[in-house]
Amino acid sequence: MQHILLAEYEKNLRLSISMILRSAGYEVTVSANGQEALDSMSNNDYDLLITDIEMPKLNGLELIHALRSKSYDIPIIVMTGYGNKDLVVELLHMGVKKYLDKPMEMKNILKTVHGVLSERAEKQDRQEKKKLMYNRELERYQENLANLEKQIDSSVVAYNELVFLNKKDYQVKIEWKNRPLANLGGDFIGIKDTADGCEMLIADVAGHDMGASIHAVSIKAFFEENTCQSSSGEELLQLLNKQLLDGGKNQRMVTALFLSINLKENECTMVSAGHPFPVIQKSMQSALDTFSAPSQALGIFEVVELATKKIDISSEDRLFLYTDGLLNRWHYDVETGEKQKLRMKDIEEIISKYHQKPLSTLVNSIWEGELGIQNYKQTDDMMLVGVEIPL
Amino acid sequence: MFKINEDEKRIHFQISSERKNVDRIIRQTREYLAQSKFEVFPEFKIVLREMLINAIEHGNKGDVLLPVVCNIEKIKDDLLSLKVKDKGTGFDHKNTEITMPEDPLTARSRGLALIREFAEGIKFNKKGNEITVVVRPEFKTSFDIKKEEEWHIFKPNGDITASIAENFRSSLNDLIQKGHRHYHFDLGKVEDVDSISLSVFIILYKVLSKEESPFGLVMINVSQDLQNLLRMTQLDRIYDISGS
Repeated sequence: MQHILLAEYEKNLRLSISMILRSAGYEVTVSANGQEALDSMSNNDYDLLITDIEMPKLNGLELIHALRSKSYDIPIIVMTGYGNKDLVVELLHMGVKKYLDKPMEMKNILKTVHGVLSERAEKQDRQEKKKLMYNRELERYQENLANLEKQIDSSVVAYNELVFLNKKDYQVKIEWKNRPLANLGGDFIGIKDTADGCEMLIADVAGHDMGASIHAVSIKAFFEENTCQSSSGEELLQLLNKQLLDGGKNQRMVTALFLSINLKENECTMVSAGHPFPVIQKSMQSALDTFSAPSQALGIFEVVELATKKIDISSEDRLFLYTDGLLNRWHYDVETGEKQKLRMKDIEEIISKYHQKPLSTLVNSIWEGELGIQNYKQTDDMMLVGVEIPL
Repeated sequence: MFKINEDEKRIHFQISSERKNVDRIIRQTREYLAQSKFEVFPEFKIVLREMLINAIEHGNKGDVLLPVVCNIEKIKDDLLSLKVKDKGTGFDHKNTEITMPEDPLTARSRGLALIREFAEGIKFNKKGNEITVVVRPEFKTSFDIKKEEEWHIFKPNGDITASIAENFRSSLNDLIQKGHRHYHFDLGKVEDVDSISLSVFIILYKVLSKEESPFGLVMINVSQDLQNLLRMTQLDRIYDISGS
């Protein structure tokens, strides 16, 4: 049942209007002045206010002001008498749309009240429908998001399984760190034992999105199928290049470094396609060897110009392979505001400093500590692989 | 308690450990920065809010009487330095996980991960109760394209990275479709070019070299670092490169 609040000073009018409304089925609460009406508003929920203008304590205008300032959103019908008509303009400004002229006829009262209440009911109905529609859409979005998340989660698991290295199983000692920029990344490391030693491939697919990780996966497949055969590192990379080009539209630049370690001959052959050569630490010494030689990246040209380097290796020599994400990091100095970039020599300094420590300590020190990502902001997938020649 | 101290260089607050002071600081700072026409950006609000909440709830353990001190300074045109200090015993920031923790209840580390996500530099004092952070509004490189005779001259106003690589690629593509074959890149404002953007340069060459007619590819004002990168990937063989 709808509840109406009636504010009217004149006792007889108050009585007759409330009787008319009650007989029509409305619940009515009466008040003799604006203040009583205002107080009543805070104790009850009303569907409509019918108010007079001329009232003591708080007149109709003041009552309506007070209600609006307290954000009461109740529909209001004002009873205007002779002499109040000029107030209509002001009332209009306050959102009062319905007026009952005094003296009023019974059927006018009921018609007006009914009109205001049904208009309000329709508006609420429309708002409910809108809300339902939005809720349904929101549910749909949430479902889609949950599905996408599931797909991404399973891709992440698949990616991690593919890229994961079991570091205990090789003829050389391996310590390995990997951190993609997002959940999936485009860096790849593969290693296989051979009769004489092992073969390794480190690759960096341009970008760090899902497309990059798809390429990383296909490089893994390539590595599984094509290594440990009689082909040289150069032939291998040219073959990989061709496979990447055959990928069609989804072309990506890939830098790669292939390493073949022969423990019997104490030799290591490295072939690079646009990828940095490893940093070499000879047998627990602090001095380091680095090389650089220009070469082209894979996935762009029909025939790639590679760079090859062959070195002698001995027990306890270490090679540090990495992707450029390890170095492409920076931060802003909080005092000066200068951009500080990580340099290769920062890495070399760490290796020299901890040169006598075990491989795992050394790799951790390069990866964390002062050079860790809490100090240098990551901008690309990063990977670090430490290789130690056994005794 | 809410005390403010300001001059042209910085604004300094000393507050009691009440959460309501956080929004007030942000509001006042916004007004202060607006005076020098510096617009407050989302990263600033997120980071400062986390720093203050950390100080109030974790550093001072919610003890209203303990003060938090906050200093905000513009150290460069687009760089703000934010410093917050509490009276706590400090916090072992070195050993905290730097990524979002699985358990949302580990509020302190989540706050720190959020700060790390958006800050361009972070420094803790030895005790661990003072954190200084540098924040910067997100900058998206745009490029100016001019035509001079048969050359199209591209002048990016910042680094060329994955976020604008697609725009870059499609602008070039549009021009190539129209038959233009001479491209000039002024990389004076470019410090970094990532691998995706490098691919765009390489693919540009590939597409142009497919046809017989002559073409031109020039890069000027290339920094030493960038020149090294271009040499390593042999782009110096296919582009005419000159330094600043």
